[in-house]
Amino acid sequence: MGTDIKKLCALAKLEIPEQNIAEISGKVKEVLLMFDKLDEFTTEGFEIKSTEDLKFERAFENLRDDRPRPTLESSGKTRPKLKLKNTKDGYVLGPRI
Amino acid sequence: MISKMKTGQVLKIGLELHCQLTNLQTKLFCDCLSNYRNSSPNENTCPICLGLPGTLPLLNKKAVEFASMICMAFNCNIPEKISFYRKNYFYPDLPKNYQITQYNSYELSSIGYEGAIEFVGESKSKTDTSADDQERSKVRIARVQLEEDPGKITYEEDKSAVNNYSLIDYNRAGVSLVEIVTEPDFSSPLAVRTFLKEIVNLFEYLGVTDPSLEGSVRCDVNVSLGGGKKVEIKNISSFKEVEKSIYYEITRQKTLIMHDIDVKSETRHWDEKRKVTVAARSKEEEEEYRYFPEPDIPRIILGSKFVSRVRATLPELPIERLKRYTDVYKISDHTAKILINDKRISDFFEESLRYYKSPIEISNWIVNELLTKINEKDRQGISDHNVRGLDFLSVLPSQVAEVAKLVEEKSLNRNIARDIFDKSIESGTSPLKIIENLEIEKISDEASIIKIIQDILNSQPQLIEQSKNNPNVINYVLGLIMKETRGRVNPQIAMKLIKESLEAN
Amino acid sequence: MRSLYELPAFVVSRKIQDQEISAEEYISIIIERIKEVDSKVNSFTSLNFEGALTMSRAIDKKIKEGINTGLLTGIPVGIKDNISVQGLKNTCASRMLSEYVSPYDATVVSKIKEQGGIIIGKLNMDEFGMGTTSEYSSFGPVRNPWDLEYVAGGSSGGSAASVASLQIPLSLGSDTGGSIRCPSSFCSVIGIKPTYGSVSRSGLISYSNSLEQIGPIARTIYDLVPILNVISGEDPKDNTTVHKKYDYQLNTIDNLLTKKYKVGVLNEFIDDSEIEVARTSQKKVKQLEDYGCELEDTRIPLADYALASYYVIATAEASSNLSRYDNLRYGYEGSPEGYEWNSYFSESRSKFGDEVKLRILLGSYVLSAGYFGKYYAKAQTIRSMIKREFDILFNKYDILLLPTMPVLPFKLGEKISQPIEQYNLDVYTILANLAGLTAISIPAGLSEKGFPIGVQLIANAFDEQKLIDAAVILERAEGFEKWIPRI
Ligand SMILES: [Zn+2]
Repeated sequence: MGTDIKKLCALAKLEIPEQNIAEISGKVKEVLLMFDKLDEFTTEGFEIKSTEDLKFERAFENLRDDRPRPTLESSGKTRPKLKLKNTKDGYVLGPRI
Repeated sequence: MISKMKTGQVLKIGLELHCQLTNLQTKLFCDCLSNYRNSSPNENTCPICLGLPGTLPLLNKKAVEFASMICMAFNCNIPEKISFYRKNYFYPDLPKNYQITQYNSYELSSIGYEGAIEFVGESKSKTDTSADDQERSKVRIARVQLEEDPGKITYEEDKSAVNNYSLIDYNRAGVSLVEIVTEPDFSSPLAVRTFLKEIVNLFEYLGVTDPSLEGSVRCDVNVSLGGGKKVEIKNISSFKEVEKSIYYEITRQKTLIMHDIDVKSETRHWDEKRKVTVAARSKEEEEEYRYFPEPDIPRIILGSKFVSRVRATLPELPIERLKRYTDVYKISDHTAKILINDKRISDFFEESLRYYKSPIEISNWIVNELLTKINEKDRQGISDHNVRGLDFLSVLPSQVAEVAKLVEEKSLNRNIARDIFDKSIESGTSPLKIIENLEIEKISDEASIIKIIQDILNSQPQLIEQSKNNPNVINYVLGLIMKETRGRVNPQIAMKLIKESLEAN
Repeated sequence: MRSLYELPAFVVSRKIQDQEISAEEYISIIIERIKEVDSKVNSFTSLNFEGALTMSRAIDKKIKEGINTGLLTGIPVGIKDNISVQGLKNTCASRMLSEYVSPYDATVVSKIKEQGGIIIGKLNMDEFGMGTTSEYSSFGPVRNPWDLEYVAGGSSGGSAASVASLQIPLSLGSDTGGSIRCPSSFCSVIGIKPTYGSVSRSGLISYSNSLEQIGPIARTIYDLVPILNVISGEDPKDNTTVHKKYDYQLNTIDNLLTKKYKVGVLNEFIDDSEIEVARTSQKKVKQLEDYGCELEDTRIPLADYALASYYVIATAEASSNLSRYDNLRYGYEGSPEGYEWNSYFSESRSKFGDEVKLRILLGSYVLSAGYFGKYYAKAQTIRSMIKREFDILFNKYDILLLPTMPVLPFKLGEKISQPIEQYNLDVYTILANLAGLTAISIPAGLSEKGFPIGVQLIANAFDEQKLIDAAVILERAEGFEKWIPRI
């Protein structure tokens, strides 16, 4: 199975200190072993297509109409706004790309 | 280069088009404005499009409808149910660090699949009516999917290395985007160019987007040579650059092959300043998008009547219009094509017909006169990449109709009509007015011309004497009259009157 | 005489509406109680005393003016710290969100406010809801009011402990795989996981979207039903909610005696549990029988696969849901200036706790290229099959009975850092989440050493009424209001 924990960390953008790698790696393996229980299950004899059965459905007609929200002046309320952190001239400060 | 290519390896080009549905009122999953272009940074945002914890996407009904219209125009199949997937990747312009999109690997989830579209190729010029002009190419469409646009990252300094930080604006985040993926069916950069031109026009016909808006239609390209690995080019800012980037990429890959170096399957970015493609990331990395079904959006049941219902509201498409022009209006195929190739020109034509219903005459005026003018302006480089020149001329459809009517009904001389039309375009006055003015001056104004002459002779009485020996005096006086009336006087009549006045004195 | 804070909410609310006491007086008493008790239990992450007092005065004013103040008039409600309350910190007990203040109310919160409920504070939990003990919190563990050295259960530990320790009469929790029912069982309170799609998730910080629902916790079914009625309903802000009439009733015992519910007893689960848990469950079986229910043994054959299926789906969804925490737009102190973006993201995200990191890594792994079929798709298939088994069972039975937890509450730290051992505790509760059903944990008794034991009832989707009816019966059969921890 060969889980490369460092590659996984890079993929998930998680920094894990070197001294903890072994421990977390062990835990990941332990849980994946538990996941292997799924391999014992065979779908033979059942007719079920991938993820179909439990997905909620909604009729197209019940989707949101393309209507902009009322402006603050007309609604008379102030829309709660998030105070974005680290802004400059309204822009959010980002790291170098 | 093209000829070399023909003797060399097979060139295959595929496109990934992104079309913003700018004609929507709101974003794809929230009720922020779809038009983010007039807002100050991060003003056009809400908890949903900022991806705040706990917010859920609320799919825009009209976006689904617009996307399905695009599918119909591309002759795609539309399934009875569609669903959304998450494409997981981190990037600072992506508020949730995943993009809600559609994905067909695990089920048929996208709004459109397996389509095909023919494109004509634009007529090269009005004189070129050769048969190859008629040739139609076919492009297969793999899928059409609905997804959200990310935000935008900018810098204070142009050189990225100088910047200590970037500036992020999420106003665009969550705007509806339709991605159209073609099969690699293009065999030359030129074909890509003509295709793109037609597609932009098609979007405009559909009324789903305004292609003149910067960034509303974008295009990624993939190029493979001789059955080799596919290289994807991203980050191409305009259609002009698309062609350039393909040419560059062909040369690059050929050079590699020539030196026996393998072409890697990768994504490259187009560096517009340096006009080269640069390696961005390897395929391996990008395949880790960890797609899975978006749990916050139920599967949407379009239903069996959806397609027929939307189709009924579909505007007339270029190909249908072409047929109508040639079949009903009896306009030549060549002229009709020129008209329909730009929706604004075609709409202008239709509008003109409302004033005077003579399709052939009007179409000729538009194609032969008006478009020539526009092309001149285009050559002067006034117009932008997607914008056609019509906006730069202050011509009204009624003006064209009037000229056509004058020629056909009042048998106005075509040369004069052309002059009048030119004047009309320059000044914005109606051709009828111009004609009226001309006629008033020619016929009824002798009295005032005589008055002008008398005024001149009164202020310079010596002229009368001089005229007896010097025939040039008549021309001199005519010059003064022309100066006085800014040339509005008919010179023949004026000459006659000057002679009479001089002799009478 | 009993103090006001000991009384059920519906009793106090009546007194407030009758102007026997004021909402402000009641809230002041509650505040005193919280101040006195919570230093020991650690159930709150932030308090909204000022806001609550202001709100209570507004309610008193309305009552004096004769304006209808709603189903929850004057009742303090504690909100799990993963449910958004406008203007309050919303940390999910994570250092990742230590400075995040929500700019909007979750739909359930606005509904509570509309009905005169008063938001008193935010409640402690396992970070982002990932845990079964409420020990994985940046605020420290929630302590079990029955013994402060024991775990309160999780992940809605604060929601259960605050209600059990008579600090507040009502709270909201969220239940992804048992997060309401487990602490309800461990603390001896009543908690329900509503049917998937019956309560809006708008404003609930997602851990595993397809599994979780918000639900209330109370000390008696008579307090649980009004708030359940308040929060249930289709919400235009949540496309996964279902349009239906949600009007749950508190039926009289006489009425219930005529219903003769068919109850399927999941005996394998009872037998697999600790002996005192098993014994108590059997006692409940007997009580239901006494009240006219028909009981029968039954089983869920595919239950063996449930745990793996559940954790694959939960970690997969979690890994994606938690991607957005990059500390750019909101989060905690710190600026990206000078950072390259990859290193900023990785460093910022190192503030997640170890268990959260583990689950993100697991989720990223099971979704990564080539593994989708082996894990996620397979898990979903099994999930569908389990749902089918339930469908068959609910053709036969109205209600299924099983223990909430296989074990009694255990000591703090006893199972920490042992993922599999902890995950195994969820086997009885995850079933309802996988199948989108409704399930309730009802106090069932105390162990010899005085630790609470809960019994779980599961009903078909949108059959909450049957659970409520059974809860009324069980509460009548063995009044659990006397089971109050001495603290
Ligand atoms: Zn928005």
